[in-house]
Amino acid sequence: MSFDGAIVEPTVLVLADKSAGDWSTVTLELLGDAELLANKVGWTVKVMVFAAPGAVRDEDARKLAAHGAKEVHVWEHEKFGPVLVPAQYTHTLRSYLDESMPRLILCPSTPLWVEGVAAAVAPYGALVASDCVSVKLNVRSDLELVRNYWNQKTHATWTFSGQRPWVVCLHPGVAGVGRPNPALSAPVERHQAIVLEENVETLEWFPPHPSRLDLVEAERVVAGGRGIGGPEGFAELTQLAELLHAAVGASRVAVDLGWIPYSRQVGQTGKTVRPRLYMAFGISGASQHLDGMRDAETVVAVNLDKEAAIFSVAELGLVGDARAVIEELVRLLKPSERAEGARAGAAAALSNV
Amino acid sequence: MALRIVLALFTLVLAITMLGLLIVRMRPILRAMASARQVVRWDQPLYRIRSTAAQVFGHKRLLRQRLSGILHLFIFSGFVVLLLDIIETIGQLVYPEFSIGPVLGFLVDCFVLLVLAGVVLALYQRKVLHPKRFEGSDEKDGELILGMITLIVVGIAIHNSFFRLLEHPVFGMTTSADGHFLSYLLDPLWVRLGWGTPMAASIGYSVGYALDIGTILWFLAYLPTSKHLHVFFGAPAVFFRKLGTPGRFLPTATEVHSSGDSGISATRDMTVQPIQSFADMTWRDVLDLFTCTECGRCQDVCPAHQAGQPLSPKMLILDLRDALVQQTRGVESSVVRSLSLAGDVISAETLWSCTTCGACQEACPVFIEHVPKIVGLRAALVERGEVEERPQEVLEHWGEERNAYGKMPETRPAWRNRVTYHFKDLRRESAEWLWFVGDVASFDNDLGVARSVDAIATLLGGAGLDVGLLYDWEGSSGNDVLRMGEYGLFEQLATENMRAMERAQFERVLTSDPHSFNALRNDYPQLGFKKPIYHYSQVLQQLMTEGKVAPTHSLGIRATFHDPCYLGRWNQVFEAPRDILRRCGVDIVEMPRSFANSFCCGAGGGRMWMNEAGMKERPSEARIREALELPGVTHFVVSCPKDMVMYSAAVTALGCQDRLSVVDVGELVLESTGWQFARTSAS
Amino acid sequence: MKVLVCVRSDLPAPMARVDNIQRLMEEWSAEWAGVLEPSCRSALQLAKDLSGPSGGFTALSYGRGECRAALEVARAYGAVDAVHLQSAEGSLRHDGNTIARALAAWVGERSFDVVVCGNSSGVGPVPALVAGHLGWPVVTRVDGFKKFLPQDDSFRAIELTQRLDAGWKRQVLARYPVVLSVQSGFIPPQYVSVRRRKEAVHGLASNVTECELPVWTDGHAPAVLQALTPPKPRTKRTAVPDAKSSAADRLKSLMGPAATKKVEKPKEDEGPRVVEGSAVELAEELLRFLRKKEFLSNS
Ligand SMILES: Cc1cc2nc3c(=O)[nH]c(=O)nc-3n(C[C@H](O)[C@H](O)[C@H](O)COP(=O)(O)OP(=O)(O)OC[C@H]3O[C@@H](n4cnc5c(N)ncnc54)[C@H](O)[C@@H]3O)c2cc1C
Ligand code: SF4
Ligand code: SF4
Repeated sequence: MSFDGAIVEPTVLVLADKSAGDWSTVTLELLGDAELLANKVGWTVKVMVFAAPGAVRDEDARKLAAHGAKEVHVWEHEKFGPVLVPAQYTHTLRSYLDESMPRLILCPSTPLWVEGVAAAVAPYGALVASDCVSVKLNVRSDLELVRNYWNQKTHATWTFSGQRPWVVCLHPGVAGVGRPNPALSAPVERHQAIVLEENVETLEWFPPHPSRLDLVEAERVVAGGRGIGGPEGFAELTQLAELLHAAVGASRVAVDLGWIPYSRQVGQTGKTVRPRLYMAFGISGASQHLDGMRDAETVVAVNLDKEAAIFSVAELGLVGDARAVIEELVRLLKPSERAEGARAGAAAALSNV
Repeated sequence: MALRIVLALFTLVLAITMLGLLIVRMRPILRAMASARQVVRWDQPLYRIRSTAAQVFGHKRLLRQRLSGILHLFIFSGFVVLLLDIIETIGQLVYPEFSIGPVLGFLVDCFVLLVLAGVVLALYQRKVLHPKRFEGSDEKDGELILGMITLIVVGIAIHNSFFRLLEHPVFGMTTSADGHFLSYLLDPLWVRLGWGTPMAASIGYSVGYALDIGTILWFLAYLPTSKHLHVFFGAPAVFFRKLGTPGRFLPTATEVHSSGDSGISATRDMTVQPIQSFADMTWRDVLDLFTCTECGRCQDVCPAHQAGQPLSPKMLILDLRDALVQQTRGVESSVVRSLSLAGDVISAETLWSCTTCGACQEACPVFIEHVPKIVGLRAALVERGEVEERPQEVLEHWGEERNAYGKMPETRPAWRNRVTYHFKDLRRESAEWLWFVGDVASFDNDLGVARSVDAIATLLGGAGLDVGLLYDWEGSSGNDVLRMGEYGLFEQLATENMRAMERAQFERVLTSDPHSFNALRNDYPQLGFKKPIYHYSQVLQQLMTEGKVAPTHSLGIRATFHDPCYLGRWNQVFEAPRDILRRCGVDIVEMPRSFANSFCCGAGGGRMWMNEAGMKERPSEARIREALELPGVTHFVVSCPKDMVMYSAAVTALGCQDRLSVVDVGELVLESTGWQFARTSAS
Repeated sequence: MKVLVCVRSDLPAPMARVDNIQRLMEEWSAEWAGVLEPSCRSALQLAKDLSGPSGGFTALSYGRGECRAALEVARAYGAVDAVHLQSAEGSLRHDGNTIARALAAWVGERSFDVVVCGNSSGVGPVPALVAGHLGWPVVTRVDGFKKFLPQDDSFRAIELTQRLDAGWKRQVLARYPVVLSVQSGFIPPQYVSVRRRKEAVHGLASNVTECELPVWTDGHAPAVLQALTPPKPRTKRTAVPDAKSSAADRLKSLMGPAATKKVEKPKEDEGPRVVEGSAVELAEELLRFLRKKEFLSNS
């Protein structure tokens, strides 16, 4: 296969995302889909990672291999941490594509990847599809994609054909993570990346804070109501939010009581949120509150009252004291313990081999 | 002779100067009125005269506040009597023998005392009682005026008493009985003090005269920059007030017809004007600004003000007045002129705080119309696009889906699946009644709202009333839209509803929503709508009278009834809901603020969908506290779906669900009939 | 500064159903007037702010009759030029690749400094594709601009704030020409009243520039829409906890959706559940749930 002179190689390139500490779930989901396609037509699954030097350890790479990666290319640069910027990896991506153009690029459908990858591949005439639910090759070897439209109220099936490279961005959480095969391994190549942002210069960085995270765009929201018991409850909730990479929300009562500013209020007279995960602590679920979070994909609620209305919209309802549960969660999720947990997990994985 | 000439000259010079000043200072105000937009307020002149007299001479509204009303009556009557004194005093200057006679003279002195008593009461009120409503008023002005009044009446007493000492020696008259009894008390004092000599008495007379006439003239010249301009403007303000149902917002045909361009092409839509500058106000609005007495009655009853929001209707009027004064004076005019009324002079936050409840207008003794100004200023913000995020979303929903909730128009009648009564589909069949359901009752997820709609549906069905719905042809009535200042959108919604109602076959409209009731009853007719419209409480009352809905057992509960602003104050429907409650055996205990003085729940004028940050106490919660004070009251009865939402939430917020239940009138009626919910009309 | 803003019409969110969309793919009737896609509202606001009170900006919409709605609002926001880039079919039939090509080709023939595009929910590829085709830099997820530098011909740039992942932000200096993308809600937009909108409609009749599509085809087949369906969740792969499963099972689970169907847990397990227990038990239950839902990694 050839494309405008460049050779299109029979590979699937997966762009792996490690911005939240570990591989994001969608990375593993992508690998699952990549392997499926690759097995069908004999392509090779290659993974490309942009990371700060040392951020991707060999055991991290092994995990990718266990999920189907055949080659792992780690591009390292100081500027790839602590936060990855779309425009900062496009140059590296392009220089890679100049050398070896994959048939298909798979990446997460999040702003970081869609916009960065689209900008990088446009000059190659690639076809890009974002917000995909599933992808397969049909009998004519055309790529068939199902995409979300209109806030996931509709699915549209598109086909990509022709000789141009294809880019598929997968909606996180729809494919599921397959079972790893710890027996598999893959060579890891490390390269020094060049970050070149043409005509754009960074003047200042602003690090995040859960209480400043925009509620509306947050993927996850942890919200508290009267049942959280006071401003200390919100302090703990903020800790939990930090651990879960979530934004903090609140009911009107909590705002009234002055425990948290109005900008955090969810509901009819506050913000309307559509996160993938909404966790409600000590919120009764009055209709005006539900108005603001009804469209969340997954709702979890903790409330003392078994009859609380919030349970009617919750996929998982926990009957108990909100503060106590938050404290437990914070304890269980604290990084030190988590790191230990991860190490123990890694050891277990190794012993399985 | 010499004395009279001197005093006459003094009077002449002072009068020319002061009246000149008065004219010079009044001109900008009158000019501002002249350059404002026209609105016709001459209709029904006889009624206007009669009612103005009742307000001006009878102090009808003023007396609602006992102490202030009485003291004002004292001072006001003093002003009337003052005229007699002026006639007599000036008359004496020309012809010393002139007198108004002993009876009137006696009256003058009586009022001198009454006015002094009024002044003392006023000072007591201002200095000791110090009601909150004066906060923000110019108290110096008030005290200066009280001082002037004192000077005048004291002057009257002084010159009258010295006049008697001068009668014989200086004017060569025989002493007459002029009725000024105060003189009898004062003369011996003067004589004792040694001021009985003609010389001293002449001086005393002159001093009294100067105090009296001089202060009056000074007062006239001072008026244009004082709240006491209401001496001139109060009566006209009452006379030129808006007549008819208070809830009407759009001007009537008579109000606009003879406006400027003889109304040929004056499209209706030009008649509600966003207030970008003073020129966009009507002359009546300008009149209002200068009529305000700074009494603060409006501020006292304003729910937004009580909730700690930045709005005070009084300060709104005063701030506008001050801005207009600055403009007319040309002070820093370029700066002042570059300020926008909505946003700079009156902050957006202030404007959006108003619930358009109308309590301020109801309380104002000089019938100032706050709401049209607030709405006009909001409209200026709307046209400039300055609308907060949340209400902006709601406005867009109204524009796109014709309901505030952003739901598919097709789902509007979804609630009817809960009831078995079959409502006719007015898109295809005809019925006697159209039930205009309204946004909140159709879409809100509040459980109480669902209960009340179900109850009303069951009652109407049970009574065998021939009722149909517009289904998805119904859109928001636009009552809130209009009051949020989005005139264009109101027009759009109203036009679509009216088109639907024209195509449908029915005779009258009933609505469960006071806000829709108000729009359909008062504003739609200005656009050409003609069908009669009733609130469901009125319909239920009729059905009960006819025996079609018959309570079978007395509920025997003590309840209080909340008058919804858009049913009570704005539309004067007070009795129907109370009557049906009584028929169901409900013992009604009135809250201190009831009937026309009802206290708003805080949802009107689009407030239901706005940011409440910065509220100290939500009006709905203050209201529930008010009800909790009533002994033995277990039910808080509402007759508006918004009230249901607001008060249910308030009761939950205060955690007093077990002491007070929020119920709809319809629910209680249903309970007393013993009918089962969702009873079909056939059974 | 010459600012172009690309806008598109959409159907009101509650109307987004397969049957409606299918109808609109054929024709947007008057009854079905579209609405401005929400992120485009932010884009318009940004364009307006960027061009300042005196400068005007141009609005461009690609498609057929549906463009009218977007261009109306654009006019109401103050766009001095409204350009309709005519496509052969309604824009709903075309995917981002085709649209981006057309936009880039049109922009490439002109001399704009800044192109602003809306990006609904941040995962639309169009703005970045346009930038890529033009060879311009793209600053994504702009949520404000600070100031203009003194503009001389040698160095013309603006200072922008850009949102990044996980709540990070940065301040950048971007030289012209540049493409900016904004998500809805990032730039609080002004409200456009019905009156203003009506006035804009009035002005629109005479002020739309109809433009033929530039010739840009590269000879490759475009993406083709095959079907629209109501959303159907994809069957999820699951990691079979049992390590001792047979190689065949393992293969099956790796084969993805269809193959793993059998090993999926029973459906009723997915329904709403209310659990009682001690705080520790509840917290653990919650974490289990989050792992199962893949909100937490399984390690
Ligand atoms: C016009 C209008 C607009 C409104 N807008 C909004 C809005 O935008 N957003 C909003 O949130 N509300 C809004 N409300 C208010 C809404 O009706 C509710 O009053 C509010 O949402 C209740 O907040 P809450 O659940 O925190 O408090 P509550 O209703 O008091 O509920 C507290 C809950 O916490 C539980 N609880 C108590 N202690 C504990 C504990 N130790 N552990 C666990 N659970 C505990 C209780 O069982 C209860 O369910 C609005 C109301 C109106 C009328
Ligand atoms: S209408 Fe009501 S809320 Fe508005 S200013 Fe008057 S009293 Fe206050
Ligand atoms: S507006 Fe009316 S009620 Fe309010 S302060 Fe002025 S005179 Fe008094």
